[in-house]
Amino acid sequence: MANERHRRLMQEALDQDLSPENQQELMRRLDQEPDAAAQYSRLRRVDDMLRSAPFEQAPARLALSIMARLAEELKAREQLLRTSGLALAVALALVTLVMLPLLAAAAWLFLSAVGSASALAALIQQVAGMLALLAGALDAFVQGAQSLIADSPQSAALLLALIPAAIYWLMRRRGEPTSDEPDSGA
Amino acid sequence: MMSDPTVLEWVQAALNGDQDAFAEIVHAYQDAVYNLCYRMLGERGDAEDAAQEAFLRAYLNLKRYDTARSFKTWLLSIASNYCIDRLRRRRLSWLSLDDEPTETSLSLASDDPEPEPLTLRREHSAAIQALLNTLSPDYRAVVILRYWYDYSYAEIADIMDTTESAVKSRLFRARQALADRIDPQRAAASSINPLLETT
Repeated sequence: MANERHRRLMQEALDQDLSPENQQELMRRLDQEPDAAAQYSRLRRVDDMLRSAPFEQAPARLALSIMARLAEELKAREQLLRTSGLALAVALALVTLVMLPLLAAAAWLFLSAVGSASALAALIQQVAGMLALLAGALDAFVQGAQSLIADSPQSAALLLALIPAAIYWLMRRRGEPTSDEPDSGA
Repeated sequence: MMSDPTVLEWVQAALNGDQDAFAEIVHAYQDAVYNLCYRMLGERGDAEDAAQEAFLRAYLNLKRYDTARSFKTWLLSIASNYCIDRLRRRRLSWLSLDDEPTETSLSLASDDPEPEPLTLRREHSAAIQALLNTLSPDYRAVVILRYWYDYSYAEIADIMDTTESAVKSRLFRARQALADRIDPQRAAASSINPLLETT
């Protein structure tokens, strides 16, 4: 513990942050212990060496190369921005083109429904009925799965294991040539 | 510590897309950034590349600069973080503080009786770099910011995004490790008690 304290005092002495009392304590210690004095001498040498260390000047070309790299980077970013903007516009145009018939049909249905209150009510009823049907089916599926897992817990693991097998089978199926395609190996 | 009003004007102009204003910033701080990168990485080519990267990152993140802080401190924090990341990515066999040095003992004195000033300066710089290279990146950064930039513990903690006590502890351990790596025989031969000498 005493060593630790004296090491700390040495460090504080290097930072010129030592009180007069602590300085006297450190001096006493250094007088009494040659090893500690040698250690402190090495610390002082390191400290002096670092304080006198030369400051490396940047090469003359550095500023120019930084500005050139910056200009290059900004140009690349601008180009990327332009390209991505164009790609987004093309993608939106394609999506609109594909969705156009659906949107037209939906608009026609909506306008016809708005035209007569009874037709609008019937449409809302139909949509609500379909949603209720969907919710019921989902509920039944979840309940069925829960009871199956409760009856035999290993079935869950079996079903999970079937997923990669099914994916593999589907991939194999996709990879096989259809009967209409010519055999490339022939 | 706030930045010089001129620097803030340059920053504002650079934010408005004035690249000439940013060039002024580069001219003003290139030596500080380059020296930090060189002392961190130990190679001039790497230091140049790292300085370029630091300025580039500074420009692209100029909006995030808090004008209440010193611009130089902010810029050096970008450079030191980049150098620390780069050193970690290098995956070379750095000597950590706990390792034994594998190279021959480092001597701070030259054997040449009358060395030329330039040669002496180079040897001195090389000896310092060899010692710095034995430290891990975090310790090295603390030593460099303390000795080359004369930053206080609080400022170093701000730059390195850590606490003052962590900085103090790293500097303590780094100095200890560097002292242990100086040739013990030479150190003992010229051993003096500087406190006694000055009193």
